[in-house]
Amino acid sequence: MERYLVRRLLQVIPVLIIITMVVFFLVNVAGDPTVNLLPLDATPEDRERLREAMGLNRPLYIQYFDFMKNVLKGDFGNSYRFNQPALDLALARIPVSVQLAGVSLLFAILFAIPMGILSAQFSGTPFDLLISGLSVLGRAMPSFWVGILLILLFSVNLRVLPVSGSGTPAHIILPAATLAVQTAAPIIPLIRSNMLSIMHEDYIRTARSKGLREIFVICIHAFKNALVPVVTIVALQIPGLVGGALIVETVFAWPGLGQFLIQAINNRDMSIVQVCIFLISIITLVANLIADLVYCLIDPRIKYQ
Amino acid sequence: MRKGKQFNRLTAALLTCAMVGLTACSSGSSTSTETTAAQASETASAAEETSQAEAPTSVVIGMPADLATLDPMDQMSTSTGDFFKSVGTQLYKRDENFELVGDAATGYEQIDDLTWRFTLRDDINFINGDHMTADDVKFSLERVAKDASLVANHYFNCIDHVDVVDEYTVDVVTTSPRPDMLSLLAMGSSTIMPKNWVEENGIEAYIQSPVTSGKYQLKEWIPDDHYTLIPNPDYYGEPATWEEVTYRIIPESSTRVAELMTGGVDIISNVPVNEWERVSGNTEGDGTSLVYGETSSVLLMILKLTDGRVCSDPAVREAIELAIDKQAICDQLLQGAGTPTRTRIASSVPGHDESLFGTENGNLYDPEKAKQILTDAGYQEGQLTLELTGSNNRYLMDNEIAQMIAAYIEAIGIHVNLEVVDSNVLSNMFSEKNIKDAFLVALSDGQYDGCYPLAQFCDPVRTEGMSDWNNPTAVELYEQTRSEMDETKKYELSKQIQQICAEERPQIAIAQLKAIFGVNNRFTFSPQMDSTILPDEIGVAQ
Repeated sequence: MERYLVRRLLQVIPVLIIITMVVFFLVNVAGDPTVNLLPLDATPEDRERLREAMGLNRPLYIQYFDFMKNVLKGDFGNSYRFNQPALDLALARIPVSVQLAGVSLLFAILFAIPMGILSAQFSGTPFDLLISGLSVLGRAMPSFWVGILLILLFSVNLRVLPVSGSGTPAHIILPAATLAVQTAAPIIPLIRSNMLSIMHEDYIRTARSKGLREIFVICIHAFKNALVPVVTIVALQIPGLVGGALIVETVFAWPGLGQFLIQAINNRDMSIVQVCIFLISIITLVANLIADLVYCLIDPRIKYQ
Repeated sequence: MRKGKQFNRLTAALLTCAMVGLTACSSGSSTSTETTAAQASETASAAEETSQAEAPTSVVIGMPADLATLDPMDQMSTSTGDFFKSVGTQLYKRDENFELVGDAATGYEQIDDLTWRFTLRDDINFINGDHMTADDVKFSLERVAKDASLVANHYFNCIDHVDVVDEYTVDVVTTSPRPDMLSLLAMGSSTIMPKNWVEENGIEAYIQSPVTSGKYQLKEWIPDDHYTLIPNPDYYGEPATWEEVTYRIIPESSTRVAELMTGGVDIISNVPVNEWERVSGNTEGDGTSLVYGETSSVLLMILKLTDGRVCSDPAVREAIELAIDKQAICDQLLQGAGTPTRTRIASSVPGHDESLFGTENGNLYDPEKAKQILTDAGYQEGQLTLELTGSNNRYLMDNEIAQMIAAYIEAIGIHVNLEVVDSNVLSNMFSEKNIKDAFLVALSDGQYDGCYPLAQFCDPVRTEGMSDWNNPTAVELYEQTRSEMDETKKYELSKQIQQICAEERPQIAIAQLKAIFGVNNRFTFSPQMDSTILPDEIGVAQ
């Protein structure tokens, strides 16, 4: 297990190097940052002067080596926009995004697990059809649309929740619910199908024959075994929730990493774009690693060499 | 049967959960644990409910974009520039009539074509207590003029140096005659910084917490969330109107409108066309209204006049302009938020040519004449193809306008290949001068001077590779405007250039755009210029 862990951690290094390389070149190829910094009608001379002052007129590979040299020291450069270290600015956004991701994941799990189990339990009934239909709908509806609908319903018409912003517990409900719709949608059918196949296993029959109440059979014997693939899908959604909630954070003016990344892309703030993608990559790698480790805890038959 | 009972119980349980959830949501909305912009807006809403009789003392504004930076000289954004006009002091400023009046300066004297002598007020203090002197002016103007890495440097690098004559007198010496010096010194980028404080604490400390001297001061800035202004108690001029002004950053336009409708914010900018009816028809609470504001922004088609291109023929350019019904674009797509024009200089900017605006003078729509011009020039229907580039979501209804223009041009027999690109792609194409035949773009004027924007068409360095228009008379007149110190004469020259441009059409101006705001009826709002919202433009409705 320790060897496996060390090997996985060592694999992270080349992955991160490749990611920095791809992101650096893509961000630089995407356009000249001075375009957004200067007015549209600035002269080519003005633009060139600014490029020179910012060191953007050097060959791209030299810029990359300088960038990597600094990254190894933990320095991703300064944000063009804030004139502050990009890493510090991005790290400051993570708690806000983690807060939103945590609540939305909680909403998703609290909704998806009972619905998945009940859907399997009442397989073939109108209730099952309703839940399956809602699950398909949840995957099909774009998050910005769900977000705007929730705003219209709960904020504009019912006036029970604030429209946007952050700070109070009430502000997190709508963006978290919007994200939870997208997160819960694929979990429900997964739990349902796993439960349906597990409920016909011999050990379930044994448990029932011992006279255990159905709820214990479902919760203790069946659900635990149905959970392994669910852990994978939940773990894979965590990076998306923390760093990838670009649209939801924009719709709800939630000042997290996603909105920060969108603003940085719009302003061609390359240092911020690079550090955000770097952080999201790390979160993805860590989430995958944690998912692998949690498998062992849930299913002792899984062993890593 | 057993399953049926379970199903009923389950449905009942779900309904109960939903009700409990909704109740929790409603009670949750009144819970508060931290201080944020959201709380500021809630406070404003609460104030609205409880004190109808009391005049509001704070205002919450919803903006689509945040401040670019807290370094006044490292930005050229209109909203950030206006922020520094609220919290900072410049040598000159624009009054409510948009006239240039002294701010830190009490007056000026033109020593020679290159030297401007400014006398300063002796009663200005920065918020840290430092007294403003000529040294601070020299330090600030030379910083933006000398440091090429600052974004505003390209406006101010015309300043060669600043001499301190005495404690309250400075000479600003330029590299060439600059008749637009006062409008330059009224920009937010020329905000005066406290020299001693910056030298002691470093510019990074200033950018973290600007030491300013304007009517308001920055209370806090949470990037991409909100920033709040409070009055500067030591301000030398008229006291501030508001005890607190909060700017909330809400990028999504429908969310911004929802915040206005529910009282979360009091004023919003950039209301999209599809929301106008909802905003103006809202009667809940105090109700909301639309307010139109002037901008310096003109939507125009820059044409490529290079030999061999379709627009190199003046007859084709004339036919294209006659084909476009600018009034219909203003009425139907912009719903009144635009004025037909034939010039790049907006009617809100001094030096514009009034004879090129309006339904009659700004709109030459005559498709039959356009067809005749093409026939007389020897073109068959469908023989010409125009490559037109437009943008999406950069300006009001830009995509729709591009499509409507393409349809008008198609109607006179010119085939149009329309390419609609993302806002950032458009910026790239523009800066790289990547224009095929026609390029639809809205250009504004940060200096509000009726000569500066003409550089786009008369400065050979800028026109080369862009429109490739080279009219020696226009170039000569433009050179004269750059050195003409008499404002009246300068603007006369500008009008002559505008007439030549309207005749030769290196660009076809379509419409001067308006800014659209949504306002809670408890407030009055008189926007001065562009899409920004300055605290002094807001009042309390009677």
